[in-house]
Amino acid sequence: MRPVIPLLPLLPLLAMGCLKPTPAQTSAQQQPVRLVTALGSYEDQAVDDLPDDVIDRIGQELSSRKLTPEPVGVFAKAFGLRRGIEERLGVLEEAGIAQPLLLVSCDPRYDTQVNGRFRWSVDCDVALASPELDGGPIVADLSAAAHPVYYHQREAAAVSEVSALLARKVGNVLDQWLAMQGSGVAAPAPVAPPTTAPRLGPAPVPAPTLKKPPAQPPAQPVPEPEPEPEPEPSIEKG
Amino acid sequence: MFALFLAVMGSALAGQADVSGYFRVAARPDLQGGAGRLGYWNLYGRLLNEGSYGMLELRYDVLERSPGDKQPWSRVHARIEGGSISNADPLQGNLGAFRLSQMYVLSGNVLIDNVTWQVGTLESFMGDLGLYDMRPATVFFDTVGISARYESRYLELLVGAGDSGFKRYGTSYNALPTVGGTARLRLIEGHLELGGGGEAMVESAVSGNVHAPYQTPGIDYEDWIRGEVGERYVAEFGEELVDYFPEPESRTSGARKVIGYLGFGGAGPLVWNNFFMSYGNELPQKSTTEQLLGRELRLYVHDFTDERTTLMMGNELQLRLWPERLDMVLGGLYGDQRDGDNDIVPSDFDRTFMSSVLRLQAYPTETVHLLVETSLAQEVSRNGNAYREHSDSIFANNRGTPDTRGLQYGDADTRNTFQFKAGPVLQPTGRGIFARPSLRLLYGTQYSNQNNAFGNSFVESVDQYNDFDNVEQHWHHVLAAEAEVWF
Repeated sequence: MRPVIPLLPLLPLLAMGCLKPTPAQTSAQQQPVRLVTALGSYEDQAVDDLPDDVIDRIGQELSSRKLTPEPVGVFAKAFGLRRGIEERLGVLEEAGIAQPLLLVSCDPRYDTQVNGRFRWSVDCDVALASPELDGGPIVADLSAAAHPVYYHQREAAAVSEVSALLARKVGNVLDQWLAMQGSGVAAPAPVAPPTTAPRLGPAPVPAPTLKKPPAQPPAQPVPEPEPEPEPEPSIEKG
Repeated sequence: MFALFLAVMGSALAGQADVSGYFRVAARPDLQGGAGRLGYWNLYGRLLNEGSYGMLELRYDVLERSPGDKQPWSRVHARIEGGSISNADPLQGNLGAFRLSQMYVLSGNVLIDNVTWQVGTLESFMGDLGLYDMRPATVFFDTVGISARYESRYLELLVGAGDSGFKRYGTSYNALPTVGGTARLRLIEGHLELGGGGEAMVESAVSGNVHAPYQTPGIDYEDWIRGEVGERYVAEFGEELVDYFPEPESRTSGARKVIGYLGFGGAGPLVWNNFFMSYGNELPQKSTTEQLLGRELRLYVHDFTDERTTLMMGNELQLRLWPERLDMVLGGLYGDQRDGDNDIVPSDFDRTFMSSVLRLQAYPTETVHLLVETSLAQEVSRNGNAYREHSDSIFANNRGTPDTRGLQYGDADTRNTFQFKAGPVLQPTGRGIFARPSLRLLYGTQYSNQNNAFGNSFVESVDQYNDFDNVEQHWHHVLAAEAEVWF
């Protein structure tokens, strides 16, 4: 028993560390959200998915709000030429990706060496597009500094380092959206399950987990014959 | 500094500028008469052995870079840093402790694609030994000038040239033209890197320039060490010939340094391993002074100090022992400093040192961690005793017989140090042994064979008229609440 006694003062700390903050907003019912991520580079036009740990963290933000993340493959070629959030949302609309849709784009940039670390500027955009958002998507941006320890750590490591900030930003956007749904400012549209027609047309087959799906060209979404979408309830502004 | 900060913050809203930085602050009440640091220096691991520190890195995009294209871009960087924070150290956060340590302009894709031109301060390193806060593989640490850095997927190439005179000599400036460069190969991207490079600086003889390198001829090394050159001259030539004391002869001096780097990892539990080395000679000392018949006698000592070399090798290994539960970093450092001119007096230029530091960080939860660090170190003086094992070391030295003409110090030529540190750590951004911010509550203990082996205010002389008694203690304990943040 005695060896345990010195550890007792640590118990409150450990207990506090186990406490999970409750999200400000949760969805009234479980609903899917298409998740598109993009990790760009300043060196070339390559665009990839965000690293797995970052996608997981974003997924946790969604899940904790009763939202089911449905990752969509990276639009490498189209996103490489279009860096703006609105341009990319346009690409997704053209590709027929269903809404609600969460797009998280990051373009980390290597800056300089700082006292033993390698400083990166990480600029990210978070956009949520949903049919009932008449005023356009909810958009937020993040500009943060990352300081990886090793030179070989590049864009992915820089984003991973600021993933807590990015997840927080994603949470804010989701809360904003859910609050609008809850207040009736813009009534939530029923989200079509993957087997029914999405609002913007057919979508690529969503991956069941948060693991990266293979890259899919945006110009060739999976063409499945879909029934006409059911009429949505009218949107009333409170 | 504040005005500059405000100016930058003001324009930061436009998205063209930003501020990042680093702060470290600690409360370490030392109940054993120390100054709040566990040991003397970072050889025992930087944790609890470093003081407070602050740094602001300011960046302004003069011509913003666009992602994915080859358009010219340009930005200015300025860094303000210093080792003082109010209430946490004797300087009380005085801005006099801070300096504009870096200032440079970077411009890319001008003239040559993928080449970044840098004009201003040029410091460049291969990487960092995070446990020690040391960067042996560094070039242009002292240099202001111009460099070009070419970067591609598999190669980073840096060449530069400039002047290191102000950093080395301050108000006693003398030009130190410097050239150098580095190359780093990514042999297997994310898994294996190899690098190397070096720099050379030359200080030319400029007759008549009081800040140029000189040697006073005809003086003896041991007389210089003892501060008896003037006394010897008077004894040999008489007071009437004092005005004929030999005039200094000019010299050309210089320093060279080579560096090496090997990095590998990204396989299994091995996150990464960094190995760095550097070898070079130190710039010779310029002059010292003595008193000769009530007048200042300046002695120029180029030839007495031009054979000082330093070899440093450091390795740091990071392992993920139990994913999301336990990380480990193991560091090792070896240094060999030699002074070819000196065979008689212990000195920091003639010694070896080595150490190993092990840090474990466990993650009971995402944000509450436990840290344990331990280190073993040995420092050996090549020219006899340099450390005091006992407060009355004068009686332990030379079999208890005081040697009033002796050049040794203390009663041991070796200092052995052991340190242990442990405590809880709060990391709001999650797991990671180098993740920040990090809020720590640490207990640290040190054992050294040297008496009072930490900064202290004890009476060191053995004098019957001392107001305070000597204190002998080899264990040192420190409690610390500290925070460290990169932002």
